[in-house]
Amino acid sequence: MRRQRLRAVVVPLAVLALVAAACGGGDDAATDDGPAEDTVVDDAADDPADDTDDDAGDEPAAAGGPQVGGTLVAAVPEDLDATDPHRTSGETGPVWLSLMFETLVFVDQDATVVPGLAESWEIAEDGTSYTFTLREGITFHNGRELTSEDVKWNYERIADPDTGAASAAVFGIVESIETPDARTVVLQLSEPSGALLSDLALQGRVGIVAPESYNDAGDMEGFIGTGPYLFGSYTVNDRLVMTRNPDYWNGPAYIEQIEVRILPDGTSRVAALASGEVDFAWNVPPEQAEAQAASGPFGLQPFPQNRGNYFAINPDLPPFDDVRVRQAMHLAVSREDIASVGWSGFAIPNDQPFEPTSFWWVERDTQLTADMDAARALMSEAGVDSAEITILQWDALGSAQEAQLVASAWEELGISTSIEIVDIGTLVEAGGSGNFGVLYLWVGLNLDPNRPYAFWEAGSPRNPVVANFSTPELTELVVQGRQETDQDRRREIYAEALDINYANGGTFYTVSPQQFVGVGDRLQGYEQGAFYVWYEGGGLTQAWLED
Amino acid sequence: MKAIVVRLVGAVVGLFVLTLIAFLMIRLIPGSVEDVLLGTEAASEEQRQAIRDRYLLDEPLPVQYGAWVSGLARGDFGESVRTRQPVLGVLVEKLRPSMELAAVSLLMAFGLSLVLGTIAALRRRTAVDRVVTGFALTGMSTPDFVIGLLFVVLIASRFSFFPTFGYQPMSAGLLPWFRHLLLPSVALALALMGLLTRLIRSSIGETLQADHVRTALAKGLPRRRLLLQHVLRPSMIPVITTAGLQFVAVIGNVVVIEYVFSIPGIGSLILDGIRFRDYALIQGATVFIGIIAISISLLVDLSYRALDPRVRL
Repeated sequence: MRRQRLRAVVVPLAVLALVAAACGGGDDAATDDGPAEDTVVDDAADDPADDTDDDAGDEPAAAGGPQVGGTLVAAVPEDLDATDPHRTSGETGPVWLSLMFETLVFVDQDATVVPGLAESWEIAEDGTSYTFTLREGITFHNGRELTSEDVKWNYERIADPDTGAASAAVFGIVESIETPDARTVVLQLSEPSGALLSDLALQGRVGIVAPESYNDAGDMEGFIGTGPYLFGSYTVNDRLVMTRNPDYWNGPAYIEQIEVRILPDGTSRVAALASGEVDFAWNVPPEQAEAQAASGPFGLQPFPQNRGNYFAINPDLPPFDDVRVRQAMHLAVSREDIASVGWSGFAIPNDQPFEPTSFWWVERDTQLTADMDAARALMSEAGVDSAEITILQWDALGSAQEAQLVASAWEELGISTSIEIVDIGTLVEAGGSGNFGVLYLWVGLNLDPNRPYAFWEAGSPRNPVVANFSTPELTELVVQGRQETDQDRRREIYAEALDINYANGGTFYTVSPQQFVGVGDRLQGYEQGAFYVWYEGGGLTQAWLED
Repeated sequence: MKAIVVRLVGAVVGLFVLTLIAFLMIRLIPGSVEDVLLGTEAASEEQRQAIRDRYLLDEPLPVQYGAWVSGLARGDFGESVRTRQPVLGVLVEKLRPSMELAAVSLLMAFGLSLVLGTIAALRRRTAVDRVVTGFALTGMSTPDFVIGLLFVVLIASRFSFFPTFGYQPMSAGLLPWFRHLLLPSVALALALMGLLTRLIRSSIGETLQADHVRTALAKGLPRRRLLLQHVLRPSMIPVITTAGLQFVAVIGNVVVIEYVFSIPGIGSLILDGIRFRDYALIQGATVFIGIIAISISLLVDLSYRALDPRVRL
């Protein structure tokens, strides 16, 4: 009796712990962030319409063409981490809140920065001041006109530590915000910045909210933005509902209502697509979806998100403090095997966090297969014949096989390797304390190279996620890259940084896994961009539902 | 009466211990609230400090605990770190689907296993018995999430009657409610049934051997009456105990099933809470579930009296 009672308590707790460890889902709070740069998805089909239909119209247009109406049900793996667009940092929040709250600058399908709420901007010669001119006649959902004061208020709120905004750091270099007139916003910077425009395009994270949305305590009550969708309702862990904004300044969308539902399990998302219960699913496991998509009522679209998986070896932990040991560990790994076996072919071998389609990708002599002889030679040169290490794997990574492949390669070098799967909080804490062997995680949705590469800046708060690896040269290059406003020159700087990284046995990027969105047959005209679910001129704002 | 008071006092003490465990457990998980909230972004020290201040994280543990428990006493469960909303409202809202799921599946399991268990007990060592015990064993040894996933892939994605995900409250109509709850409840019930069926089978089997039953049988009592009054009733004591305890265990299993069927219940809330290091939420949910578990075990104790007059509380 006693024992049974104890079991009744222990079993649920154990199950809870197991599930928490195993299905942690994407704690993207940490590494994904901005949008991706560039894309593989073929060029935007011409905009299905620049909206001649006036807002009264729920009239379906001629068959086959865009029509207004319908409810799109979208399945996403995790709940919003916050409904305040200044406070979100995961995937779901920024992706979907961006339909209500827009940014000063947008990106297009290829993740190139284009005008948004600001119709134009000027960058001072020395790169230390940015002057934006707001578009005329943009109104919030409550009918009030957007002014430069609103922009200033929003940016100051994001920068305020009490807000707890994940993007506060973007405004770390902003010294002051001036509003000479209602349509002009001037950002004065303490140092030149080549990354600011991309940072201001971070949809859903630095979006402009009408200040009257917040109560006196600073909490969000209204959801008043400028975007193509109006806030409907939100229920924790269940759904976010938005309705079409008939007065959207950039031409109203077609779909009347968007219902975002939380389906944590990948298999369930595929099943929901197959049964037609959802019309759109974010991040579907391709191994499962491919066969079903061939026969089922849905298709898959690749979502090139400039993601890089990487292993970061603790450079302060003997014997791994010897650069030769780390280099040997790099040489022992076959990126091709990881892509073909670890990811069933749904990944490309890559040694950097940008994909070949991106402007920021640099051509390098990438090591594709393992070179065990060279690796062993380096190990014996370093005088190390055995060692022990633990890989801390982020639980939001799709492939357990990747870590196993790497572990078995290292075993061959005499390094006995174990793998521990942890959630992001544990991982960040381990990185900060320096008390770990190897961190295995990914950085994704990269819009600006300053994001992944600034991890290498010594002493920066992000340095722990690359195992505190840095060199004085690398730090200097990263700072240079951030301050340079000439984008071609920036790319050269980062190419050099990558060389130094690998020469010093630093962050070992392995592959760029391909992610997919599932698109139901009812959803027409949808083209996935590199940047979430909509971009200037496309995505959900130009898609429609067939009856 | 005195015994009931003693039990109640015990329940309150148990609850107090539970608050302490809940409070300490979540703090044992590595990773701080501000790390998770701000992720790996280049957050400034001021930002981290602001979060620590808001949730009293720099205070000594006894102070934090005191603040939480005194809030609880006033009915204030604190603020969720993630949503910045009061925890209590969310808990009440999310508890409902989970409790319905647990209750429906337990009822299903209980009803079915009563029938199957009785049949097996009455037809011991026959083919029927073997089929039933084999079925029970399979149910017991198949994890409910496997059954759940099979249901999603094989049934829900093909037959539109069964939704593959979600939940509808009863207020939306009985049929939608039932459609959403059926597959997840069956998945849970199949796993539960195994244990209950075997228990009922052996419990009835034992009672059938008891002196009073054999006497009654010898005296020619009608079979039906004998079974209902003299066999089933006394056999139910261990079964009720187990079912009560199983209800608590089911809440643990519900967490997994909710994940598979995307049901916005307390399970998914807890999982997210752990991920976000949402201290107030986890603590609140633990206390909530604790209260339910303790109440159920009280009820189970009380039910003995009804089933067996010899039991004196």
